[in-house]
Amino acid sequence: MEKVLRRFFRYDHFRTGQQEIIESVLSGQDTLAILPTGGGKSICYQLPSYLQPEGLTLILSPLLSLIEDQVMQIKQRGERSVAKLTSLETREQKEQVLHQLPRLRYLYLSPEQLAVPQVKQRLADVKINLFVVDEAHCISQWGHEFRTDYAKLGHVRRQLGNPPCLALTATATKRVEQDIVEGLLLQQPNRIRHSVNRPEIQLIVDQAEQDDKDRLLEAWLKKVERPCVIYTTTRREAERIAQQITNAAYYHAGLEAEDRQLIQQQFLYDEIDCLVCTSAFGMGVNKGNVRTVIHYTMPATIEAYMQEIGRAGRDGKPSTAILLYAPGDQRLQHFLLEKQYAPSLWIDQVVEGRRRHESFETMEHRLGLDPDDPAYRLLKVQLMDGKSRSDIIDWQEARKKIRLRELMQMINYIQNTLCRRAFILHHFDETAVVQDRCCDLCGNLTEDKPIIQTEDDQLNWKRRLEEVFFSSRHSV
Amino acid sequence: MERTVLKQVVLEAIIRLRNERTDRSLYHIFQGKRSATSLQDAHFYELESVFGMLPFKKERFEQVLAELEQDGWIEKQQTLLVTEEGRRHVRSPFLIDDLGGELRGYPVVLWRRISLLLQTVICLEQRISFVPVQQDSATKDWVRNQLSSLTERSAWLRAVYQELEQALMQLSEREAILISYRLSGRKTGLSYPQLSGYLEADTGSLQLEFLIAWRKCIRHLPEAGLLMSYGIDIDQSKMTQSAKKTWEMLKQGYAVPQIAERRHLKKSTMEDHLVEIAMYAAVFPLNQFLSEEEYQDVVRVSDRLQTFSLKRIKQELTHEIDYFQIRVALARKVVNR
Repeated sequence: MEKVLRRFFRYDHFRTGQQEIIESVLSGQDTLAILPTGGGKSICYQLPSYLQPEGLTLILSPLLSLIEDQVMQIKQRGERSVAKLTSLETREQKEQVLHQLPRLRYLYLSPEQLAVPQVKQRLADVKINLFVVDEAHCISQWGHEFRTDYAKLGHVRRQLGNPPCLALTATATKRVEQDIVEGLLLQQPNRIRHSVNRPEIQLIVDQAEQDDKDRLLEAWLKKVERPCVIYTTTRREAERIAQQITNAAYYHAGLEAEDRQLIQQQFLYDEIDCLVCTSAFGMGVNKGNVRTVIHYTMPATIEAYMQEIGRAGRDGKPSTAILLYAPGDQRLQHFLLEKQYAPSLWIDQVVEGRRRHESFETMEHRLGLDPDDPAYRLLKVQLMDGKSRSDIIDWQEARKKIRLRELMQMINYIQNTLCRRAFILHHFDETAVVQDRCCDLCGNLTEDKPIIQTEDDQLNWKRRLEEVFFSSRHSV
Repeated sequence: MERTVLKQVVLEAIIRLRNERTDRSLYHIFQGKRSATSLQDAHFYELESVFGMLPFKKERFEQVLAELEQDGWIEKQQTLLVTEEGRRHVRSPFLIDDLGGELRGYPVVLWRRISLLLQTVICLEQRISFVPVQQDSATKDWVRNQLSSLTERSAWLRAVYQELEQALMQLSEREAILISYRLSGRKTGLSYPQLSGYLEADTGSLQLEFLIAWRKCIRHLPEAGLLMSYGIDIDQSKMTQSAKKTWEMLKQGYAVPQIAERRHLKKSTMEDHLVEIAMYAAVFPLNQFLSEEEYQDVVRVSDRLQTFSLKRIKQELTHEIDYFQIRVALARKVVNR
């Protein structure tokens, strides 16, 4: 097994947990693996394929960017028989992929694509070695990222002849874990759970008044090491803060495609050492040496928080996570939460339109609804599934309640006065640990004197052209 | 209000529309919508160079117009028009003609190819991993194909470096900076927001400045050189595929009704094709559609009224000439100008 690891993945050793999961997969048993972010999940399903007779590894993933990124990384390590089916491919490209199916090793899919009858049919004709569900917590109503498409996956797996299943997630409470097992129809699964604790990350929360937050951030930046990621909630905030910090750049989904790539690469190469971003950044970004993650504003759930701070210290070296809080910060999260669901006025209007057999398109036009608005899209899906007005309202209310409770837990984390690490571990039904560099409440923190790179203040095209082509990036 | 490159380009475009077209028309020209009306607008109003070169999102476009309106530089009624105040802010150099829209995406595709090929070769040569600067699969596939035939990497890099350096020397300092700092290899290119800090301009304007600089750079690349050879197969023709087919059949001697029947085209579609052909073909059998005298009439009215408004021209004409004929005549008028 280690030979395969070296030959195909160019790693010398397995990380904790990987081997156990791979062995479970190879034994043909259903497996539910909970590995913290940065634990090297992808190897757990990519490696077994080289030790099995021919057959396809099917990987379901909820995020297009994640799929893109994984496919790219597989190709980069020299494996060609990998393909993807998402909404981004053209009809011809999809047909081509389906045609190659018998020769493929890995196929990445978004759940909607798996629902397409033609795709399902073609998949039923090939041998599937492993049915992987990445970010499996999306299946649970109790998970922080519930996805309606995920709910049908168990059924589809059965239609495909019940291939062995590997469900992966970084964070799951006991309740979510149970939902995954039931939702995917796992049979006596091996449950492999690794602590969500990231001992190398010290946890800090710091509070200030709204007006003082920038100063607080500035002060912390003088005490923590870079590379550093600063998370904000809004794009505008990311842009504003990036301006105040030396050698920083901002990243959010509003940047044009080429610029997004450039910033990612600059950060990977340490050409910039501070990245100010929204949650759009991070999926599948493999950067080992991030030393600090700062949240300028809090995320909506503890799960999301763990995922985001998990981008620090992937190389196992001491790192720091800082959450800045000002009274009232939760209001923005609250607002964003409400915005994800259709207001009752829309529901009434659209239900009424449907009753008169008006098409969605006409209604969108008449009522000025944006077909790309997630709240409206969700409503549309529910109506097409035949849900009634009251079903939808009840469901939305229940969802909102769950989300609000999650937000409350996040606030409890901030206002908690005992140990931060213990709070998080309890949240995930784990027992507390005692360790060095724990948290601001335990008081055993370490500080650093960061070295901050200086920026070029003069642009010079001749020098630059040479640097792009030839000279070492460290010598300039 | 601040005068930016972006605003100036939009103002220049609106001036050329001569108070005869709506904001929607302008939006479609900026987007490069290949519909009969938009193609015709670009051709009549000398906006070929911006065709498809400002592909804003709708909200962004509206925001730019709203700002210009707030500044009091334009007025938005049924049509768009530039105010006296606005005209004062349009200064030479006139920027609009250097954007390269008449090449129908050629410069943009060439940039994507060259930037990704260069990054890939440099990083392969240096054995470093990288995040591909271009994400679209057409460019990626193209680069993959090129790589297999590119064996002498370091010689290739030296040759490309020289071609680029020579070309950049012909540009202004600012233009050369824009191009060299967007390239990635051992060093990664800067994003527009990053450049905007250095070059003191908004990102929208910088994107346009980059297009202008790149267009100029292409002109200075050696014609028989490596870099130019990567664009040979990029389609630069303005005619839509479908109109091209009609043109082929016309050249083979088929009569218009015959073509319509064979290709199952409606009369109006057929007419759109013919107008396209009249706009873009070097030669055109004008007399098949209207007499020399009728043509001259249309030209005279259009010149006298300084207009391309079909309606106004038709009202002034003494002969019975239909809208299709007027369109063909105007199309040729522009070609023959």
